[in-house]
Amino acid sequence: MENMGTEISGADIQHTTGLSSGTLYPILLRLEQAGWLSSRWEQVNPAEVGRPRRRFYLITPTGLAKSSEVFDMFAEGAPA
Amino acid sequence: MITTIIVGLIIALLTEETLGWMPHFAKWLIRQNAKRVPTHLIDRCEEEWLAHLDQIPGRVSKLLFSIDSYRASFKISHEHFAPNVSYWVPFFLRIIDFSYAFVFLIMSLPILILVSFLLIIKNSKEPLLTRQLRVGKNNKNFELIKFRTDSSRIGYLIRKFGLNELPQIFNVLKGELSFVGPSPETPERIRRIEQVVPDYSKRHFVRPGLTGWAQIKHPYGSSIKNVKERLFYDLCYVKNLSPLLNLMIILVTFRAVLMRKGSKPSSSDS
Repeated sequence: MENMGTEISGADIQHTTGLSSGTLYPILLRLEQAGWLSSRWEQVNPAEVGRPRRRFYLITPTGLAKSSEVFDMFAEGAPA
Repeated sequence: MITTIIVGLIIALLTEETLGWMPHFAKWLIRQNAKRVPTHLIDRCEEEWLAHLDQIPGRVSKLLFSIDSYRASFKISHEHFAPNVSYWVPFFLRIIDFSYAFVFLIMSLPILILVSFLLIIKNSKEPLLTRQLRVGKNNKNFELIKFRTDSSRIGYLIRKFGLNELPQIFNVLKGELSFVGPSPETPERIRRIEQVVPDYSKRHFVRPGLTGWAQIKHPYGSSIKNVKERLFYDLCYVKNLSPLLNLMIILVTFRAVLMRKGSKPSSSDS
């Protein structure tokens, strides 16, 4: 949650969460399709920097609201 | 002493080569896996994953990442459709298909040769095989191989026993066709059906097959109602893909063929 409001790449998220890529990328796509995350390409020319562009993710207001709901739920204990 | 040094050198060389090629292999693997996701996401996944690969320092970690991208692409491609299929099932089914096709090819080799021989003496001017365009897995077209038969007596007999369908075993070996799966249809037919049934291409998540759940459950009729019913069975099959289900479908097909009342062993009834 310390990354809230900043854009981070899939590699950073993997580094923080420790999820394997086979788990991480399907989740990221799903969250994006549900509107919890937005993403955009890194603003560089791949030919100039000599590597592919990274994709940056940003949490949306919807995602923020939903995630705090989830965190609250964990704080109270899951509803019976 | 000399031998030890030579062997040591060779091992060192091989290790060096392998380590050197590993990142290239990892990139190749990611490109292959990215092709498996839905078409509109292919470019994005490829670039995003390659960028991620670039940020991984170790060679072995790079390799592991690229292998894991298989799992990612599998999950993404099945997301909206068959989330319960675990990623190794299609892999396993392909291995089974290949082995059985191989054994079957060897067993039917005498018949294949005999039929080819009969057809060649009958008519040596025309090519022995015909190729018919069909829609395969992930909506990719492939050519269904059959023996070319004419309206002669031999041609009639060969068709009557379905021997003209035998070369399709090569389609199975090539991985274009499976023993069990939705029936392979022509691109035109698919286009026509899709205008009325937009979800129709969802059945192309798996390889088409010689026999299938829809073919044994609801083999006849080409009205839209029948097509929809068959699609329902096809989608049931895709969602519950498993080696056991395949075995059951094959047994039911055999029973139907033996009792001469059910589906034809091949579904290419056009």
